[in-house]
Amino acid sequence: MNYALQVENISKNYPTFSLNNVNISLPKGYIMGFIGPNGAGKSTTIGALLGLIHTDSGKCFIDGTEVSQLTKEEKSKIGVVLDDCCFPEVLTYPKVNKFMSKIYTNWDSEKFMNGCEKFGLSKKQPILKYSKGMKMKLSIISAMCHDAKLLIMDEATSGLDPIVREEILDMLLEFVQNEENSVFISSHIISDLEKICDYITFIKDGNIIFSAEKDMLKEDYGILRCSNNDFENIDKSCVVSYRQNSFSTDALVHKNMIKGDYVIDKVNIEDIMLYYVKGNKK
Amino acid sequence: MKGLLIKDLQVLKPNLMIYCIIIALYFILFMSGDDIGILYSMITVLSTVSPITSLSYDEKSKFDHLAVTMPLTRKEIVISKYVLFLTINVVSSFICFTLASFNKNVSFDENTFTLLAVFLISTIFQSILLPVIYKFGTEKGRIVFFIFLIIPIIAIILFSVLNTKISINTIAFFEEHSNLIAIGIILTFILTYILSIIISIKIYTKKDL
Repeated sequence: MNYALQVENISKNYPTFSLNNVNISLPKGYIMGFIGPNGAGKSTTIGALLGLIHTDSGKCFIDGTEVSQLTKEEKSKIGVVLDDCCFPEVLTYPKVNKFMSKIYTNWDSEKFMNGCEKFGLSKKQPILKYSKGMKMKLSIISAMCHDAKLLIMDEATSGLDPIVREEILDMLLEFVQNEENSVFISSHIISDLEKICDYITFIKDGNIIFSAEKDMLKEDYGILRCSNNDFENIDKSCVVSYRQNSFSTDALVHKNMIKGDYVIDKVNIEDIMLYYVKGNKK
Repeated sequence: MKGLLIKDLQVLKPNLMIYCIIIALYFILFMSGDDIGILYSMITVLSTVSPITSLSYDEKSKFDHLAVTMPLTRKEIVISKYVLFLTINVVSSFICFTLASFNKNVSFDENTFTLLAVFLISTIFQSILLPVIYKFGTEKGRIVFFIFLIIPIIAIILFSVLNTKISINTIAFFEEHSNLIAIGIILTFILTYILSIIISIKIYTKKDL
């Protein structure tokens, strides 16, 4: 299988946080959502993937080439949106267009200018005056204006209103219509990722908890709702975590492993994450 | 690299405009007297303030995070800054030299000597400042900037103390070997600048952004 990106056993130690043997593989033509609570290691992983930080061990590959060995041409095929806008705030977007067109040989000025206009960005105001949402739009437009084959987005939809988020999600879906294009996106807004992602990777405390196809996850997990007594009789190897009150128990379970006649509700990705983070362990 | 230079010039443009106005005001002051130092002090200001301004804008917007993901190497990102600042030094020196030659009280030799001295000192200071900024950030860079401001004051005090002790022989020695000394100073300048670029590239390549 051809992979748009691969992360192999990367580790990075900080005094108060460590990333431990992170492995991620995203096949070409798909969208992967990268989820996890604040401080779980999402941005550190993306930093390693983009060569912003040096890892203690492990390697990252983009389209089969190790990140540190990427040629300029290969780098120009990666569109990046970080949680900050990253363009000097004293500039206006036509000025951004001017210097970016000199950095990227395949920069599409017309697409950039039209995109900014379409998203209602002010031509005369410096980026400094933009709202968080407008800055994010500028970053996204810029990432999509140099014929990128892979988009790496860190918290790209945060700070945007639902209508714009929807527009951006549509843009991403349209982007992966080309089977060569792929998207790796981290977000706190899990409902957004659930709409568009083919794969979900969940990181917590610097460890990957799971990285799998979204549909498989939804097929595998379920929310078991039962009395506390019934819960005592459940095989605990099926239970990921649970929440209990004085009368009943809700538990995230591997639903195909549960034997017996129990009420098992469908699960969404947000439930899975919440149970992993907040639920009591078996 | 061209793109980075365009970006930096766009960012610095408002500041450079202000410097042009200050140079114009200093020029008027200078023409009414013959103190060449007033005019050339602008080179020192430009050569120290421009790197701090430019790099602090980058630091604030986290532009480097994006730049590293662009089709650019970390080496190019560093070198583009050195090219920019050296260009600013050369252009501002040229402007000051031209403006100074309008004053008939200032001889060509004095003008040339002052130009070279100020240019060399400013550029050497820049080569100390930039690796410090790359290593510790612009805030620490400002501290180095203030230390640099204090050095000339200390130098003047020391010179006033030592002035009487400079013998005629010493002056004669300097005069006799002035060409050799000039070549030595220029070589030191070139080596310092190259060394500074190498150190900055090493720091920046190893840096986690």
